[in-house]
Amino acid sequence: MADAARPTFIIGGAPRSGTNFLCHALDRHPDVYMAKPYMPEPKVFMGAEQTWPVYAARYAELFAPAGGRRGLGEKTSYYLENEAACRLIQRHLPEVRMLFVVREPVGRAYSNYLWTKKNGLETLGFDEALRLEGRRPSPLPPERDYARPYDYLPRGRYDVFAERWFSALGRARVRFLLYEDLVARPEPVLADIQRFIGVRAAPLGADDLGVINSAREMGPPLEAGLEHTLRERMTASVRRFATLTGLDVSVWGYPG
Amino acid sequence: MTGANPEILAGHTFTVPPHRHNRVVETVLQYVDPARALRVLDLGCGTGLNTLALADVLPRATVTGVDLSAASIAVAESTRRRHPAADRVTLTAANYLVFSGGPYEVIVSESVLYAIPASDEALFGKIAGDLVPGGLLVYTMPTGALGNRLLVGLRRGLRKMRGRASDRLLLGIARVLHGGRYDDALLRERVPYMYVVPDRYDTRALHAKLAALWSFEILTTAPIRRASPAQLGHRLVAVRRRST
Repeated sequence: MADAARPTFIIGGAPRSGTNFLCHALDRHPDVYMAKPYMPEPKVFMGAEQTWPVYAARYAELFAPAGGRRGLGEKTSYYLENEAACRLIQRHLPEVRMLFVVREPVGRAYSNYLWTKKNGLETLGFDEALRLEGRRPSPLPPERDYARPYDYLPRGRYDVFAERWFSALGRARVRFLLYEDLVARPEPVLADIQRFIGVRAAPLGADDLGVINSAREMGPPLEAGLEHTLRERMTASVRRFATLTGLDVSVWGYPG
Repeated sequence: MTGANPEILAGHTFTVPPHRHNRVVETVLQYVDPARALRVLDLGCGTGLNTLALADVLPRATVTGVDLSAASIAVAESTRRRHPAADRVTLTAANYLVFSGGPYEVIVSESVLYAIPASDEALFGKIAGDLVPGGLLVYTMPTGALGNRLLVGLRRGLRKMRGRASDRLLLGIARVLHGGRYDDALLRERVPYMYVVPDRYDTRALHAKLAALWSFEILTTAPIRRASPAQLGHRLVAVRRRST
């Protein structure tokens, strides 16, 4: 019984990268059920490690309303960057397919910063916060260590995450896609996703889903000089990510 | 690429002989202001001698040591706990290629990069991504000299017939060569390294690649005196990631 409730695919991604949009779109597919609510996320494999029956019970609960649909999806964006979750998914979900949405890392970092500031956790300027990256204690309780609210650029190290997930699950079960592609041409991207998660092709009508929430920034634009410096810092990582995944990241505008 | 080095090394500890780690630490001090609050990574930290030495000489730095070998990290951790700079030092057993940390102003790697089975692009791309622009990388690595290549040929042969007998033979040779200088525990610890075949050498071609692909500027290169005829001849290299 518990085995029947394993997710067949999981959506993860950089925070503020359109993963909610993807959930809404895929949940329209007649053969797909996305675990709800989307926010707060299920985070089944986050926190203290449990035994499989504990996870199985959680999935049974999450997918109880699925009604026999074959595509069972969970969305937990933190999985992308979380090493323990990667290990647990490798161990407990031998068939699952991982779908990660990533966006240009400097823009993502700034969006993340504005979000953290809006939530009252950030009091520093962006450049000062970046100077202190890796040295600031998390303001969150230990059980929420994974949230890493001050790790703005490290959470955009997609090359590291790609290497980790490919090593753990193999390339066939892990797919990265660009948020920018999802925004620019949702229909072909969604069609490709349907093939990847093993459900029949169905139109999802993404046009009326509205603006992807991460596109709405809530602060001043990033200062050009700082943006240049940060993009320079991330260039090696972006290039390595492109090599590892074979993705065309030219839309991010980094030197090749 | 050999791809087998992690299996050979993972369960073992590794202690850097004092004469070598001083070179790395001294080189770092040539290029950074020790008063700065630097973030430092010791890549392949072994039992942590370099890691703690760096914390000693960089009093405001936070120093991270990462090593594939959980056995080495366990030893390093027990030393760290007794060290005055313990609060500024973090140690992790992990495969560096999937290790998420940083960014760092300084990365050091003492005789480790040569044994990581990954393409240069995967390894140095990761290092470049972990360094801030202007960041410093100090490493030591075997050179591509003929003597090294011959020794590596011998190691390949040894690896094929590896067993208790070859371990005993290597330990016996080590005792004859170094018994007066190093204690037996250190010699035993180094036996697995006699089977390690480099995945890369420090060559001009590598330096050119570092400059072309990741904008590294070569600051200095210096040969390191061989401590033993059985040891591969190493070179110390300091490079800085250029900022535009």
